[in-house]
Amino acid sequence: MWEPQGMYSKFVLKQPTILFGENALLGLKTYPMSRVAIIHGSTLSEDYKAKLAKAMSAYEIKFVQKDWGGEPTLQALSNVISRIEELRPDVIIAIGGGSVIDGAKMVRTYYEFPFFNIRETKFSLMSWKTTFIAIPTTIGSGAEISSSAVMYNDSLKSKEFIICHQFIPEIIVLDAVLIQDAPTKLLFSSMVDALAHCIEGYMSKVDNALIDVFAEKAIRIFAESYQLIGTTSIDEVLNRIQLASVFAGMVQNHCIVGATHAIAHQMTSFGLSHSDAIAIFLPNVIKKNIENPVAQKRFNNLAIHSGFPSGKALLSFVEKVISICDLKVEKEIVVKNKSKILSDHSFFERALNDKGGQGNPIEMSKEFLQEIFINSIL
Amino acid sequence: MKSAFLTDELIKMDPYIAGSSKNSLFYDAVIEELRFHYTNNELYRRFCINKNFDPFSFTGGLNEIPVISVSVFKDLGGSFISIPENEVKLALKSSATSGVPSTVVLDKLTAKRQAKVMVKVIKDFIGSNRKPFIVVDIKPEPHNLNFLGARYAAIGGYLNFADKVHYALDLNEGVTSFNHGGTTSFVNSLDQENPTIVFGFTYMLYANVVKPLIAKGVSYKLPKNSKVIHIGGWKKLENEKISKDQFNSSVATLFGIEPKDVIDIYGFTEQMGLNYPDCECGYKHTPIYSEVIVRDPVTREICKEGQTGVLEFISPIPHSYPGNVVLTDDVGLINSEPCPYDRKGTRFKILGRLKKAEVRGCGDILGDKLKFKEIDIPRNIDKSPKLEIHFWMGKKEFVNESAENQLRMIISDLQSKQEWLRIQPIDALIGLIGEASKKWSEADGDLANLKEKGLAFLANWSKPEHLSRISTIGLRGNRQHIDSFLPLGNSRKQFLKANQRGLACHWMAGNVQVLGMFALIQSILTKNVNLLKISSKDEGVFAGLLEAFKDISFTTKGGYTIEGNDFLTTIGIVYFSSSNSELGEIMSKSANIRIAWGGREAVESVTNFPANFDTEDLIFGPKVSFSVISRESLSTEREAKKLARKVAVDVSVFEQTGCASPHNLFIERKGEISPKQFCTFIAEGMKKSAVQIPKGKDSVEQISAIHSIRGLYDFKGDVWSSDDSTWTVLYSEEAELRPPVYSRVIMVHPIDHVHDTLQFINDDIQTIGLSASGEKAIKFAELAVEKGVMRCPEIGRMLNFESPWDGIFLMDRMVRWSTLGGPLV
Repeated sequence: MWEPQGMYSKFVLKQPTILFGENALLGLKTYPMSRVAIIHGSTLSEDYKAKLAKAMSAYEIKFVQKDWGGEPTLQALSNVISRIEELRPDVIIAIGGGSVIDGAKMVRTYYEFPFFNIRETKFSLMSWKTTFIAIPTTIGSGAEISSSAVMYNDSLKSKEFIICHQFIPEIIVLDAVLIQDAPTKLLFSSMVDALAHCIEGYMSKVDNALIDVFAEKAIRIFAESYQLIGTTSIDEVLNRIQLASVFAGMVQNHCIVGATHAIAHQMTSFGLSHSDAIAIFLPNVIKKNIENPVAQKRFNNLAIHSGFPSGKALLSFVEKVISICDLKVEKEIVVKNKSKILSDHSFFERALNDKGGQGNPIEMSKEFLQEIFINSIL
Repeated sequence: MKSAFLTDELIKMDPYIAGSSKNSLFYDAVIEELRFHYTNNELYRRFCINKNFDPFSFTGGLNEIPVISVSVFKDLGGSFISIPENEVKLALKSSATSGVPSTVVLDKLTAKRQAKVMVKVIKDFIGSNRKPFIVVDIKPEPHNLNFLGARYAAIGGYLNFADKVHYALDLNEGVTSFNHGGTTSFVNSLDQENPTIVFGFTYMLYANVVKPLIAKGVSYKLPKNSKVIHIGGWKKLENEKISKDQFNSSVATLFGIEPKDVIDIYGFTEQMGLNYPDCECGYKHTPIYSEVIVRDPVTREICKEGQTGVLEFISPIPHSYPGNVVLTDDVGLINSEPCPYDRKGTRFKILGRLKKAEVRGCGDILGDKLKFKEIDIPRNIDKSPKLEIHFWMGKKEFVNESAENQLRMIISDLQSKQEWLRIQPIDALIGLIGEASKKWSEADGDLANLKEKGLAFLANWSKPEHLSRISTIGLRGNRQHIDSFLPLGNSRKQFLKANQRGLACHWMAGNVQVLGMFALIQSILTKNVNLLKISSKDEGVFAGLLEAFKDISFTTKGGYTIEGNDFLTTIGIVYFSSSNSELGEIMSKSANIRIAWGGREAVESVTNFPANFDTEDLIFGPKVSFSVISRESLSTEREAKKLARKVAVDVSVFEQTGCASPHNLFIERKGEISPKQFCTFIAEGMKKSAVQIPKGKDSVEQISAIHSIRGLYDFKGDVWSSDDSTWTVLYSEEAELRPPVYSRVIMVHPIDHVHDTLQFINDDIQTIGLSASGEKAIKFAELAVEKGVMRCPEIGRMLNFESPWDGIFLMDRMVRWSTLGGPLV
């Protein structure tokens, strides 16, 4: 399902309540709840479960561990849906990374609309009966603020993007505790993903002056905070990075991103994580785009409003963060598949048609993408 | 006095002269009168122009002259005149046993002709000698004129045969009573060798005299060869199931005469003076002053001999108004065989009256607003214990039980299913109904017959995403209220839950069955078990719709399955006569919710049966609707055509039998497109709608009603229509709210401002389809709803069922609300 976002280019969509800072979780206490289902991944600790349960004043709370991986099929979701149906919750909480949050969006959808059919049902007629709360345990993906979810259609053997602005949760809780033990490399590559959302969203063909502010603010926070990652466990810093990541997610959700995402989406089938693939291609996409004077001016604007003296300085910052990620292994995967990819006509076709990359400021062509690809592995 | 007309030569002749066809004098006299009307009557001239008929150049047969339906005389009444007002002598009104009376205005010439031809005809049956008359009516004195109406003239005409008269009815304070003493004295004073005539109006004679006196054992002995002649028609007697033979026998018994001497005289107000008494041969004859033609009520083609049809009468007698070629509602036939009694003139027989087009829709409110306390419901008339079970998948162990016990057992079994229904998740129920809606949309097999009865609309409305939305709105913003406690407002302390009420009993109307389904589905979604008492006109519709649930199931994505067959055990469909009060009371007293839609019968039933004090009543009584278009909506031809297409959809859905169906459309003048031009666009739209929303077969009565209204607008304005009865667009300059005709008939009226229609709004108006914008739209809507209108939807979506409907959030009323925790204060 694809709802064109063009008409929203001058909108700021209804945004969730964001609970952040110290004791953000306790903010949940102020929300009315009767029965709560908490969908979580495999790593959620019992301590945190207890903390979470204590933060709510519901009659019944049930923890349901997700049993799908990556992009779920309907079949993979059915066990969790069944348990949700049994409980009949009025609040659904998804706590985890992008996979948990995106999957929970679909669990909620199928629980509430058991007749839901991706190709037929109109979201515009549907009203939620539950409150949806996202508690991200990672940064960068933007799943907690995005209007999309991805399913895998087993019969068609293809991914199905379901885009609906009603997917945006009613509440987001940013608890720094959840990311304080994350590996540094993961945090940095996730930050690059968030930076890509800011940069590609800002330079996107979908121009939204209000959302620009979020991109500028997010980059400014990343620039101020990145050096502290790994050197300190100050929750406040991590919480600011979480917040910047949500801002970046808002940018991505309003302004369609560009070529970096178009190529990166094709690379996951080669075993690269989304954020690593983004990190590999982002600098060369920027370089290629700013060959165009208009795009260059836009990039420079972003840099200046984000606290950098020039576009060049912002690009250097991006490259610096990427260099911290240490992508040697990942680049080798790309190099290894270089000839296969370059000879695969459909790879770039898919990239050109990728809906996630349609916002690139310069018209993309196969040659355009090939050049970026080659430059990225030089 | 005018006297130079051929008619006045014609009426000098004897009524039943030799020859089976009319002579040229009759033809010429008719044409001459039509020319007179054409010249002197603007309305008639417009009618002739619309019908491409010019009496000055016409050379065709009598059967080719455009006919005027009797209904035109009801609508145009006193304004339908061909003479200067100062020549009007009298305005005659029909007795109007049902509905609006016909009115005709008489000048001296017409009145004289009427009297003359009446005398000539009646003389042929009762002889020319004056006789004693007993008139079963009050004395026709000028101060009684209003009370007597058209009877005044009729009585006056018959007095030409009387040498002495006794008026058998007295009038006191507007109430008539039979003067038994005076009548006995009069009869006793009669010369037994001198035949007497009793004259009366058929129903009055029977109801005020014959029936009560026979019941009291009273009888009179009239002189030998006395006759009873009566006029006025049989409609009311038919209603009382009194046959002509029974009538004649009773009358003969009362007055001591032979049944053959009871003579029924047929006539009608629009051609007053022309009387058609029963001939001894059993038929009536047209005199030389008139002719009869039998027409097919649907095609209006001339019927073959012996074939039954509606009767057209042609006569040159009416001069002051164009009542010369009139199509009646009376059904009869012609027998061309010669009369064995050698009476000449076309032989015909009256077989009855074309039924008034059955009121199938909600619009019967206009002429007769319901006041429940004044309705006299016939109780215990139908002693039949008959209970028809049309759909039931519950326990069937009651085969040998009485009807009452059967109904009680069905109710008991339904009540036992409440728990099963209670635990079904609302979204699973929605999913199951969604599966049935797929079958409804396919409309295969038995459902094919329902295509024209709004099935497609129901199927679309029942789509799960729509039901999900309806139940969300209906259950205070969250459909899950029916499944579990939810926070009340934003409170963390108090929780709210909706609960099934129990048994919902539906009294279904026969007009818009689909509307009944809307109530049923919402009752199911609020987890009430349902007992439907269908209309006698149901024709298996509801059972057919429920069949769609058989052997289907719906499984949620989490694996919960709800079986259609289990679901069906929560619903029963029965039929029993609405006058069977015992069954009605059992049902009513068992109901936790009583629902009645649209039809008067259903509404009356519900409100008059006893019920528990906490039973929730949902009454959707008869309502009508109309549409309003502002001039701004007609700013371009393209917009106007688009809008006209939407008007056509509103008019076509449910054949206008819905409460929300528009029958009248008011359009502001001075738009880029004039109201009249807009009619041509609607006509185009109606053609397309006829293809996209196929129309079922119209009844003969409905077709006749359509013919009548088209005939009226041939006088009043303009008519666009299909060749058959499929659709009709009517335009007149008068801004009036006309009663519904149904069956895709839209009456268009120009107005200066949308506010001009506010005068038509009262509590009976449900929906106004509104095409206006800005301040004009909102101001109009505010004034309209203030006056009683419930909805002002967009044109083209008037029939789209929504919540609230008729001012009621249906689902909200179908549940009990409970709280947990709190209270907050």
